[in-house]
Amino acid sequence: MSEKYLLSSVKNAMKILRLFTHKQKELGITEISKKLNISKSSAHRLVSLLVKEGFLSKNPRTNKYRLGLSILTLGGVIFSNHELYKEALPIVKKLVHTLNESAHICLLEEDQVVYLFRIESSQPDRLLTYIGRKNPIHCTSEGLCILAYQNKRTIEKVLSKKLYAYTPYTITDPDILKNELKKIKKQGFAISKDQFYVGYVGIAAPIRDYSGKVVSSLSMIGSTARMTDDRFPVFIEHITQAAKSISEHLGYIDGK
Amino acid sequence: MASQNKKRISSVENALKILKSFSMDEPELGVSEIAEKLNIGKSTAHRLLTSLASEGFVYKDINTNHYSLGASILTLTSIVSSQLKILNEATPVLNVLTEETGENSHISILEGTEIIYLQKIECTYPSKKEYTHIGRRNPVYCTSPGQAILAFEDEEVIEKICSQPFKKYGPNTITSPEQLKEKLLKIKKEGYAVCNQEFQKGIIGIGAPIFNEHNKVVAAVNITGSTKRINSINIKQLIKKVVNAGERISELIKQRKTKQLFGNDD
Repeated sequence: MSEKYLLSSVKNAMKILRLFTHKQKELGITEISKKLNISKSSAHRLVSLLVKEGFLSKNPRTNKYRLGLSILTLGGVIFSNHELYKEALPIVKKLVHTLNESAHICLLEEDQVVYLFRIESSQPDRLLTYIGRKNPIHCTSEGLCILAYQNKRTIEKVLSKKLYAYTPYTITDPDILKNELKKIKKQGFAISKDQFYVGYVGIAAPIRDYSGKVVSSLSMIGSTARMTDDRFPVFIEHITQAAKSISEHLGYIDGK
Repeated sequence: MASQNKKRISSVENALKILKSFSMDEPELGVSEIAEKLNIGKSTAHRLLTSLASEGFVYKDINTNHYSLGASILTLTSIVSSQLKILNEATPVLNVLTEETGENSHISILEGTEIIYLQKIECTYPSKKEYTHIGRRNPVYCTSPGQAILAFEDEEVIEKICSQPFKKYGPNTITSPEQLKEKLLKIKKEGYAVCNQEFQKGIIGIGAPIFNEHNKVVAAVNITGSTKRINSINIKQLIKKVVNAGERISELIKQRKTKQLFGNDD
């Protein structure tokens, strides 16, 4: 039996887990088999294994499946070990309290940004970000802000991929983006307006670890109706200051 | 065919076991360590890790060649949290409890022979490394949330827990089922559980039960803190705050119209 075949069952098991979303929290065997284009018996076998290890649980009322508590255990491992999470939380909370827009800490994972955490404001906003969500780099302030500080190879790699135009304002020309990255690095913050979603603006500043390496970004994202151009300086000042303070908590010493 | 099926199943099981081998103490693991833990070949471990990485469940640090849990887990975690309806009622109460007591507070439920923490609110000055974090499983018989739930559970559940061997975790861990049963009766009478260094040396936990609209125990609220901070002078006050928090959350659950508590179980 081929190794490839064995591993395809592992991948399918992981794909089953990833079928669950905030919008679709319950799935039946038939739905799962259709979505992954696998037989119902395969779907059933994989689901049973996932249930056995606590990754899925069956809702006895609907006979459908939901994500199980083993997921929560693994999530807890990630959070409790992320120094960044512990150091940043109180600072980000204060920032949100001051400016009343939602704030996020992101990391780069391959060619996307992933949200490590999000503190919500009281503003009703479209959910463009949530914990664990992945968004593109080239059209978000939080992504560009981290990318600007990476080495040439990483930048080339990200920009060599097809850059999708999410809105009419998305910059998809790698050369223009490279200039933008230089500008971000020089000024120490990134702004992305209408480039990922029309009517929304993001402002981000870099977070450095003890070695000075930019590992993540702190950003605020909100409606352009509230975060108007004339208020940008206030946001920039608070966000860069908070990002600097988080960096210091992580052991970064400015000018080292 | 039977052996092929078995092989396929074991590779999925091993992949899931790899995910579970990451812990608070070992958040990063190398291929050899994983192979050793699961008692599988290094090349098998490597292939499984590559498959897991392709779906974002593990992440390889190219500088250290070590693996850690990946972003897919974070995405799924936020979905699971949103399913836990009890947190809607409990989180605001926990926030107040931590603010008023200055100690870490948690919500836990019983799952099999363990408790699992669904929520944790950290205090400003944690006293030392405590073995509690969201999603962590701890034993029932030597933790305050475990005892607070167990005391109000059916005889059957108590017997099941008591039939397991009790490992000695802390200096005061109860290791005899009879002694535990005696303590559970006292907890049931008083409405709260105090675990003084039963699970961790230097740590005291105070737990109280949470009940649903049928007056069935469904969870526990507790605080934990160092024996230096929680002592005979302030413990009465702290117990009262924890018990009040338990009552408040129970009240809020009863007020909620929907009968479904965790989504997963009715």
